[in-house]
Amino acid sequence: MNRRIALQALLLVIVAALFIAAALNAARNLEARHIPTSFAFLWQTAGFGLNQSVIPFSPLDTYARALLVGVLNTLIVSAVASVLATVVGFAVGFARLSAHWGLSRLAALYVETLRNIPLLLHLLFWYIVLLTPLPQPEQSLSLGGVLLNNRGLYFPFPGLGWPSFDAARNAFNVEGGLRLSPEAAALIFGLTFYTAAYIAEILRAGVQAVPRGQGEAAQALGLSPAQTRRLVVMPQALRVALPPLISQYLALTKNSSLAAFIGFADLMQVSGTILNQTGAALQTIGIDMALYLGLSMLTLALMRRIEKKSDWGAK
Amino acid sequence: MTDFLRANFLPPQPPPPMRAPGWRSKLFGDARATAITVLLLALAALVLPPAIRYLFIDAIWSAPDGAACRAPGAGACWAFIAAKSPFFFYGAYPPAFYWRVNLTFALAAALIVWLLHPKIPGKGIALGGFFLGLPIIGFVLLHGAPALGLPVVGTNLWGGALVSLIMALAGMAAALPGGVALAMGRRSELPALRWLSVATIEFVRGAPLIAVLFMANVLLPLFLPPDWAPDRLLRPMFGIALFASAYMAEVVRGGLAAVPRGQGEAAAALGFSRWQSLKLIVLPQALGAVVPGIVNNFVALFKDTTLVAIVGLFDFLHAIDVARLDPVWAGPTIALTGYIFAALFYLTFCLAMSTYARGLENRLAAAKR
Repeated sequence: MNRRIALQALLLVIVAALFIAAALNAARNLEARHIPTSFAFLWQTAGFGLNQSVIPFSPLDTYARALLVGVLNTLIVSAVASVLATVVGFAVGFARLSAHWGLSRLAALYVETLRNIPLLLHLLFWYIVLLTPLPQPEQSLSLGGVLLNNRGLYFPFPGLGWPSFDAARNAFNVEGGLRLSPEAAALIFGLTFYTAAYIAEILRAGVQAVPRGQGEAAQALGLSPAQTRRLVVMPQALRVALPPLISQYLALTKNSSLAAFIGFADLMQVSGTILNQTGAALQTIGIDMALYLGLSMLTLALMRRIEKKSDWGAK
Repeated sequence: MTDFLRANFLPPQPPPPMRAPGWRSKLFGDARATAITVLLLALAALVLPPAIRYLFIDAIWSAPDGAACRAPGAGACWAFIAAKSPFFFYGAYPPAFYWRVNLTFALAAALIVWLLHPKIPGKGIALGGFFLGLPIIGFVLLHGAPALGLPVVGTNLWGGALVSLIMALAGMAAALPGGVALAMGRRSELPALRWLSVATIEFVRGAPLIAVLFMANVLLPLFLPPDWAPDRLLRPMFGIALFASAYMAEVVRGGLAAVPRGQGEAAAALGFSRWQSLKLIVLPQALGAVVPGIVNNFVALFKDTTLVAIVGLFDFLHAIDVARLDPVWAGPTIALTGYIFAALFYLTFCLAMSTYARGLENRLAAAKR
């Protein structure tokens, strides 16, 4: 008993000593390099613009507001990409489960290829190969009300109206509609198709975890194949698939930080810029860590609630 | 509420076929299958010919510079890959010393085959070689040791696949012991140790790798005495090792949970010490059960090495991404060509690893039956 306490005390002393040594070094290094040590820099003027923002933002706004824009962008991109990845992933997953040999092989090819290529390569591909050679606004490509040019994608959106280009009113840009910058579009496409490969496999594993007897019993009871799938197999499969699905959404949110590579103003990119401008390394990285950790914990807590409350998690 | 009572009965079904369906009935069995097959064939007819033309027929296989690739209608510019491949694989490492890089990775490959192939004996030696010998020999060979007649090559010259593979190997070599240590700590009876392990694991797993790399790159030098200044390659390496260890810890934890309690108790009853029981009874079973998970973790780690570009290292992908801007070669097809080449590189390594993991999974399942 005494040995256990002594061991733990020793461990804590070592960890505390490491922390104190690190803090002392940091204090000395920070002073030597004239790095700000308070959070006051947050209220200084940012001086940089951001390529996509859901709240008004100008270079005259503060660093704190820039961070807020970054957080909102991270949340929005993650939410949109999660929904799209689920749709694509379920489609690929069902194709993978199809009795049709060709369809199933095609889905397998999709999964094996896309998830074995680094996400960064997906993003670079969408950004540079597909989105850069887009035309000027006056030659926008139009697809069922969606306009596409080198300024971004323009969607019709309630309250913002239909996007349109009218050289007489504005010779440089599309007016109306919801604008998605090329960077945001590349990030959403990349995250969607990459994560979909994982979601397809999660769905497949979920369906395969349902004992064959369940489907056979349903058919013996006279349920049609569609009813069997909808009423017997899928509810049980989703119960198995839910926890890994949620960790995929979490992974997607963390992966959205790769926005920093293609210059989309997410939390990581904004805080990287702030770090470069102010040198306030401890504070910006601390804020980053706290926000990402908070997001993870929020999602995990939500997942526990869903598992507990809904009958999905019930045995 | 759905009504499950049946009012009208289905017509009797024909008996199931006695033979497994052949390819003809698989692809053209009924109207739906035929429609899907026709659609897939149409898709192939739409996609494959231009892809083959771009990749092979219209491709430029050899050219002194980008002029031929900039011609309208030109396909993939393989000449660009050929001209730049030393940079893609070795970065700015002096060509006279390429043999040192090749020797290091040949050694690593030999040790990995030795470790993974079930028929080669002496796994203990291979294990020691991989975790202790390789890092030392690798460092001496790559970095150099003037005392041994190997001139020093600064890490600022390292780049390309060399950096990607070093990061991956270092991550793997650190993640396994690190992950085992953290997983053991998480299961420890000592609350202080347990909470420290949990905090480390969850902290690292909750953050994106880019944030961890930033932290290692910017904060590590701040927390160390000013004259220690860790090398620019060492800092991200530390970040990757920490990140991979935390993820590995969760895999190992699954393995530890799969070992029945009776195993450790039986070992204790037979007079094994705690370390002996751990080393000889519990860990071999725990790690054996999760080898597929470990390998899948390595696949993720290998893909993640592309992120070291954020702290200014020239890994394989970043080398390609920089080379495509070279004005001698720059042109409309260069980016796609480079990315296709990068995709093939990562696909080869990752598919090899995941195929091995799947084979092993089947072997383990067969052994259990």
